[in-house]
Amino acid sequence: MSSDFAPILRAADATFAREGATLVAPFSLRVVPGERACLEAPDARVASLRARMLAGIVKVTSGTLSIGEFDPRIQPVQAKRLIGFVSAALAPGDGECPLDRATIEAHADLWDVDRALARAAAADVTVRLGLGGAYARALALTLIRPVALLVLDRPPPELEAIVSERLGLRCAVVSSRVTAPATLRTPFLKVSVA
Amino acid sequence: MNARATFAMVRIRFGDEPSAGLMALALLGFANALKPNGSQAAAVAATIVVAGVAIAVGTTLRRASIARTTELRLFAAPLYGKEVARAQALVPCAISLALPLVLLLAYRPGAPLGPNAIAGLALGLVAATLVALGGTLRVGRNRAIYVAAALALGCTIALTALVLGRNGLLVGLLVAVVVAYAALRAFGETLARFDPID
Repeated sequence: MSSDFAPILRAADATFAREGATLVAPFSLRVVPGERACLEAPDARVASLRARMLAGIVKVTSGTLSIGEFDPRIQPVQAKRLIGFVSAALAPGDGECPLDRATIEAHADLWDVDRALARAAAADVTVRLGLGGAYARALALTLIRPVALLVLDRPPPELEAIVSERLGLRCAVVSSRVTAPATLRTPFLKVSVA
Repeated sequence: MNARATFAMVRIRFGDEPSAGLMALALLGFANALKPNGSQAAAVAATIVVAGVAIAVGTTLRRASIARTTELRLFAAPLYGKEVARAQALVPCAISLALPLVLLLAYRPGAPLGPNAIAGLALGLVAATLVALGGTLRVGRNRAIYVAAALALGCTIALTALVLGRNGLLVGLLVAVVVAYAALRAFGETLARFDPID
């Protein structure tokens, strides 16, 4: 049934190269709303780069990638409005301290979201997740607004397992994961379909 | 882009300030309270100009500043490169302008730098800072070229106003406006093309 939906993410031989070196080998992916997919990579750098490509942060150098109807190379702002991107590198603070008001409001201002609504949404996500840690806080910050595609860059396994169910997400969720080369199933593994 | 996003980026950019560079520029400004005589005045003035431009460029290109420019959350946000560039430029330019502000406050007749020279230095500092910002997105030799260009431009604009007086200030204004516009535009385009892979 889900294949009847227009895909929110389409990647066809998406590649990233720099100075003649291919950093991300071509991969193809098609994800519809409600679907979950996991991109496996042999190391953290490739996993992170793939996630950033899907989030429109790193631009593909060959092949195509579209988010909804938008090509992030041509319409980056429109594409990014559909995406929620969470990375360990984005995680604010350390330890178990809760998200502070200033951080949430700065994020709300960047995304032009009402501050009060952002605080309420972040608190709601934090309560529903029931997990502490920097990554959970970064996820709560990302979900202060509705997203059509949630890209998780190397999420902690315990969070990845519960994120869709606990939050009742209807958007597509794509996560990147580092997998030992011996067990690698390239280029991607679709985990489940809603 | 709305003003909220601009101020959010300014707050993010200002997160690790005030820096040692800001303090150094402010302290350097008090050198204008000196009253050197004759040939010493020119040497002190030239030293203030060159040191000020060097500190401003160094502050713009320090590690924390580069980290702020390449911060991932800014690339994840739905903002155009030119918008991010304008917001990113505000804090370094404001820090650079601390020097001419303190110079002006410390000014007394007979000081090394008069009002025209201070205005010329302000123009030179803004131009140098904007050129140096482009270097934050580059590494190695390319960054060194931006540093050299920023130092040369900033010193040239400021020293022209210092040596030639009001006419030099007008020339400096013209050059600074052209350089600042081109540098800010180039910085925005580089930000739009930039891939934060690290």
